[in-house]
Amino acid sequence: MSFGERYLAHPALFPARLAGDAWGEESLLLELPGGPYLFTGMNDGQAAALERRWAGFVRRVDPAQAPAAAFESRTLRVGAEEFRHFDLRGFELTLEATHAADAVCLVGYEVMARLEWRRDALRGAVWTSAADPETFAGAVENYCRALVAYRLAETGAVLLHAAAVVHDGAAYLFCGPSGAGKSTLSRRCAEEGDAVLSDDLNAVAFADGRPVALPLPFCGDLRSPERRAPVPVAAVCRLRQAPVDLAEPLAPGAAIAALAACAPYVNQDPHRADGLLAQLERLVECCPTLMLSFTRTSLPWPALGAAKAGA
Amino acid sequence: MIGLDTVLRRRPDVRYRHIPPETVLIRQAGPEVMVLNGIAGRLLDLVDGHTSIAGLIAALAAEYDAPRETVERDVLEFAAELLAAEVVSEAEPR
Repeated sequence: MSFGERYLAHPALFPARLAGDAWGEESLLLELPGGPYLFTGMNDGQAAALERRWAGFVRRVDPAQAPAAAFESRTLRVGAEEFRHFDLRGFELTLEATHAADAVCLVGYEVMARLEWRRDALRGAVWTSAADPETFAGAVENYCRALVAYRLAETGAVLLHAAAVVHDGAAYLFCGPSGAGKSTLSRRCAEEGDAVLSDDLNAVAFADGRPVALPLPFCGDLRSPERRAPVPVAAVCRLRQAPVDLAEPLAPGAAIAALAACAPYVNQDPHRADGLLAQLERLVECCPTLMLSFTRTSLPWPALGAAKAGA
Repeated sequence: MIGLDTVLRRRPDVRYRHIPPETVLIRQAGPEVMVLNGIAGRLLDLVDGHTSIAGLIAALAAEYDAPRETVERDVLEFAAELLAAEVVSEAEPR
């Protein structure tokens, strides 16, 4: 199946320019690593839905007063007939992409988006037919996750499909695909009083040569909105459910491979994968990387403590 | 069937980085991530769309100072695996 066929009525008509009709005149400034990100062209209900979804990270602004360095994304309206509609029960929603050196096109259920690098500045637009504010917010967040992944990559950071738990003042990242146990482990840690930055997507950057976890508003079920400051990363773990709890160091190659598999969007882009591998090598060089086998009911700290003692 | 005259080329969606003693490879079509051993990683460097398997064997045998028959067996095995994993494809005959 070629790009767009799954979701679009007319894949060949995918927008070639960042143009179209806005939904309204509201704008939001999303303050995240790699940003700030300015979203323009929403109506009041849509902006309110995103304010709820990204609470603590976003505020309404007059576009004319937004920071000059903000990365602007237009939110645009298209007719429902542009998309294929089908029963979503049992269907795993995906975001398909095509990549060029200066542009990335994305398409999903009721959403399409385009990122463009013009004179080294990133701009974007997202088109959706979703008038319902919550559906609109979901569509825009799907796009925004990709946008942030690309901006982080440009700034030497990396977005990881990982849960991040803060324990004794340090962040532990638990990577793995859907079903690996990120939310289960996050919930167990939260029950014991640990803060969960997000149970789904987290950013890792470098401060003074050391990795830090940067909180993001993108989560599955859990996140701690009150924790905004970067947190030093103590370890990155690839999760594997098993009958016993055990943490074992990963060899550098295996560690980078495990992390690359959990670096969404950019790991599919042949124009940017070299940079991703370089960033992951840097991360693995300065941060313990482990395979964490865990039972669904346990906490990770005893196994991680034993691995640290044995290192 | 891969033979000594076969010529391979890397698929355009493949990116890799040497992390001694291994090589990490991303095949974007999946995306799929693989870890190759050092010789397989070096083989990937040498696959250029022009050099035959026999040429690759000769280059690696000289580089690793290893018996040609050992290198030939390894290269044929690695090449078949890389072909099956769609990391490389057979180049068009020239």
